[in-house]
Amino acid sequence: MARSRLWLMIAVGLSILVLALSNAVLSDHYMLLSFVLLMAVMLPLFVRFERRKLEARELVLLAMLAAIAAVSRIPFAALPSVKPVSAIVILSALVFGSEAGFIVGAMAALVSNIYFGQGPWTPWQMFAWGMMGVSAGLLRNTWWMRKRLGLLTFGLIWGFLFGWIMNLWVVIDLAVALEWKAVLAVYAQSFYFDLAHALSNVFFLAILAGGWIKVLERFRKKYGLLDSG
Amino acid sequence: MTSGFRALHPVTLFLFYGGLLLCGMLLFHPVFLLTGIVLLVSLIVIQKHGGTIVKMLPLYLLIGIAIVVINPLISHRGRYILFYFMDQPITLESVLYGVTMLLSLTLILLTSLSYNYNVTTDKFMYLFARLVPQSALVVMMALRFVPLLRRRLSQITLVQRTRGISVHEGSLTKRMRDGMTLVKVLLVWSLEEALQSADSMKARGYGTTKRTAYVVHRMDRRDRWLTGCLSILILVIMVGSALGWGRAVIYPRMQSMVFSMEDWILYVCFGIYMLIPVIVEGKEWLSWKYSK
Amino acid sequence: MAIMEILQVKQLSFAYPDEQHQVLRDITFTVNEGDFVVLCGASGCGKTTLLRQLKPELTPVGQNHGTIYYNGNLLNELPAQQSAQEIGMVFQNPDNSIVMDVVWHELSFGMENLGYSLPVMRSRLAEIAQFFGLEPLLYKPIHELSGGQKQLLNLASVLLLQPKLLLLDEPTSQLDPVAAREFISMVYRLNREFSTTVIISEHRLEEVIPLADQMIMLEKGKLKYSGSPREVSQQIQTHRIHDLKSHDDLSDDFKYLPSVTQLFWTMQTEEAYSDLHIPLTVREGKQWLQTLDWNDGAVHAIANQSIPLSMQKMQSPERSKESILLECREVTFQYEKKSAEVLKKLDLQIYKGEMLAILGGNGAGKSTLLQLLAGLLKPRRGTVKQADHVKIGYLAQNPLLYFSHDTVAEELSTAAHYAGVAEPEVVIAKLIKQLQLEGLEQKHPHDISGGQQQKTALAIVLLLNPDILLLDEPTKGLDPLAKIALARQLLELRQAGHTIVIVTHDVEFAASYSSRCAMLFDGMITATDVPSTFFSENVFYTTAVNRVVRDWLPGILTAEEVLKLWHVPASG
Repeated sequence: MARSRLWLMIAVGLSILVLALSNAVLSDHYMLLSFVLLMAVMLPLFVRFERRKLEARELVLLAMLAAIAAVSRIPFAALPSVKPVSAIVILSALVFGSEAGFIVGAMAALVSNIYFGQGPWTPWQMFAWGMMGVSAGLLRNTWWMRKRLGLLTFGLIWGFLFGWIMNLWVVIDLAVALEWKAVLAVYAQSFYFDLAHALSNVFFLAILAGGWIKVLERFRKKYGLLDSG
Repeated sequence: MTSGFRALHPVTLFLFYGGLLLCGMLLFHPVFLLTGIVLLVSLIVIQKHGGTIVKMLPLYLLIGIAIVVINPLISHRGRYILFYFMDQPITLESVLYGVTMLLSLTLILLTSLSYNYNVTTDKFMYLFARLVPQSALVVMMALRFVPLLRRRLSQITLVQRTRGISVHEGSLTKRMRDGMTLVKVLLVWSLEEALQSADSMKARGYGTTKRTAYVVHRMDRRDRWLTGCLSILILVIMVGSALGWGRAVIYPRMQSMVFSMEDWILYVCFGIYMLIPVIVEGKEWLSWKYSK
Repeated sequence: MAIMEILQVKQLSFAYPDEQHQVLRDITFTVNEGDFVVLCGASGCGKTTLLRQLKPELTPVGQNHGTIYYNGNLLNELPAQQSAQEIGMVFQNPDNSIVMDVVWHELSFGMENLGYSLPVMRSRLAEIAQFFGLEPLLYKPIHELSGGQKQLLNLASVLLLQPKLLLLDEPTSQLDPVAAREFISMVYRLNREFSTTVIISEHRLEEVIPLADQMIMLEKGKLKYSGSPREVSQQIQTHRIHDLKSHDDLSDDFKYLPSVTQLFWTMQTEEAYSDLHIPLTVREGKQWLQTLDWNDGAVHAIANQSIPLSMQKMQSPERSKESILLECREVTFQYEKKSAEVLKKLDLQIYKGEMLAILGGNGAGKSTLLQLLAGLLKPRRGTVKQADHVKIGYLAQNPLLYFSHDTVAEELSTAAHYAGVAEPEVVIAKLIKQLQLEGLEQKHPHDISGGQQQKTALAIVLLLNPDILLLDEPTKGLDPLAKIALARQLLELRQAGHTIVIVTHDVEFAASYSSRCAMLFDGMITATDVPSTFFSENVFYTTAVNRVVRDWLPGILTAEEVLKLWHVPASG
């Protein structure tokens, strides 16, 4: 039953993909194309997560981290463009691995948008935060991620990367219609927001790294959570 | 509360909005888009949440004007030059393209407004749970935790203020640091308590066998019928659009906006598609009116 | 036919991995089908550990000795699915046990886990929703429910699996008295009407013990007493008399009995008594008092004494205009413009050196009032006026709100830093000694017991050196002994010059230890007075002992007071 449903899902997904893709390529629908590609990247990650049989504890932990990341925006409502979600996603991924990082990031976006309003930006946000988690998790054992400076640089880069990904859904349609300089203009316009995001990432990672990792490690050890992640 | 279009089966509703989003991107033609916008707005008004449009308006106008004004200023593609602005040729094509783009964006944004109203979280989760049950479970738990965490956070904020920890006073760094202290209290506390949630799941047999799903939504005849109609319409629109119907050719050179036969077919299909929710709501309204 | 034993525990011992110390030691008892068993003992005595041994899914890893039989078979050989269905467990904190976002989904969660088919789930849900009256709540999100409703929901969602054995781990410790009573009566109904076997660990013994068929008392992981409540009370009495005779320290076990039973036994000189006559409830207490000879000289004279002794005992401080530290004048408060007024033109004075207990029903606005007094909220109209240079400390209901560090010591030193304490080491050392937190300095604040967490939070608040200490429901979830310890701490603080205000549901605590009580109702203070007068005028809202003895000794609230009047030679 589970297998057949999985295959059915993949078949339906693929057919929609092919149809939409051909449509998009044939008639320059870059926005649609980007959506389809987005789904195509995220689907295998979700499927992989589905295939792992997780313990109740692990599920609760992931849900709780996603919820905390979503809620963490509240105390900072008074400070514009300071959002600790990214820092929390990165730290979760560092401790619990890339798969957990993806789920926490993607779910945090989905859940917080249930309160802030869903829209075509939701999959983009899910993608951006999800990838932030995946990359942090994949790099967590490299020597430079273990260095403080490396971690901070990582946060800085993702601050910009996040903004660029989020610009895409607006820009991708403009790219064909407008000159590249218009696209550049959009990116230049968002530069200060991205910079603020990047700097706040650096700040949060700088003050949180030690304490939060200790806290999360404590839970991981105490309860043997997501060990193979 | 839940009557009319809202009361349709989640699959039907989701299909409608998915298709609509697709149409918003595929049918790049001002007439199509305008028709879609008018019918969607009337649905929103009939469903009495027009307030959400008003709330979105300022932001929307900002983006809209930017697109309409900036596009012709930067893009000079096209044959028909309307006038020169600061030595830059302003072409009819680029103006028209900007407007069409704006319409496309408008339809997408209106779709998400109407979607947020009609496809409530539980309906979305119901769909999600069939496709990816484990991820859906995580989301549902996260949704259950968010209000709990918000309440906890407000308690923490209150109590920590008595100790001088607050995001409302001090330098920016101090405020950011204090904000994070609040979140950390929440983190440690909630992760500790979350293990009890896990126990409660295990105590009720989580992971002992293959899960089934309790379903509150039932697909009735009307749902099935409408789902069928919507699917056929979407298919026709997708195929038609792939064949180049219903698409205004603007660049490199504007061509006639007059509908061809194929365009008319597509237009009728799209019209019916957009009318479905309005008709469902209208029928409901009539039945209430005459039952009194 | 012999009575079916649903559970047999034989010489059960348990220790956590890598630890010498056994959390459970050599425990043996049996439970018959349909029994209502009350499990009691101080916090940390192993109640929760024992309950978890009875629920295989939740049994922690560690060294197990001994055997447990469930329906004649070894419990750990019970198939996982059967165990999930037949042994139900309800936890302490209703918020933490709920994992789904809507009521119907939480209810169906367990059934989904066990793979029930849709028609089965539908009919079971219909049945239980009716029984619990949950239909109007079915589509509500969880966060709109009250604490009591949440705990009933937990119970209902366990019952949907049709358990034969129901384990409840302090299920009412987070509930207010009204919701707690409702919950317990629901459990009792299940026990009586469906013969569901119940094992419940509780601190609210006044209400549960009269319902119990069997009472099991643990002490430091060992089974100390077991038997029917009357038998156990007799065992405790025997123990006590033995202690008295040998001049050992008196054991505190007595405090676990209903106060009427305590009163009864302290007035007895004999060790044993016919079972039938031991009172457990107010009704039985009254019947017992009616059998006494009220014409006996000593009893009669005391009964006619006009001034209740409790008033002298309490040394209520002087109440004059000068001694007002904090004053509410016509304070009105509402949370949002459209919401109802929580407080309406409320007047209240707090005098230096007193311990004021503010009582009131659930949702009466007690916590709101306390937060207004603490200056955390601002009144919409009216004023909260402080005397000059008065510092206020506020201790919230939940101590976990205070902890953000990895050890108790760090917690305190950061708090001292924020409070600007001059000599932090000295002050902290003093506080640790005063609050008996020695040895916990290097522990994680989340790894210590609830009582210790509360004391740590109290230490954090005391670092601000407040003149007035405001405590929100300080006795919530505490066992009887911890309550007494808390009362002692508060008394010491009062002697050290602090003024104390508590808001509480706990009538017994307010009656025993406060110097003045105030009743908050409908947004106003409807009555304030010294406890003896305050409670003796109430019929329902008063202590159990007062309800028993009021016809003879009005104004007497606690067993201790009765004893003082009676002068019964304790050892005979």
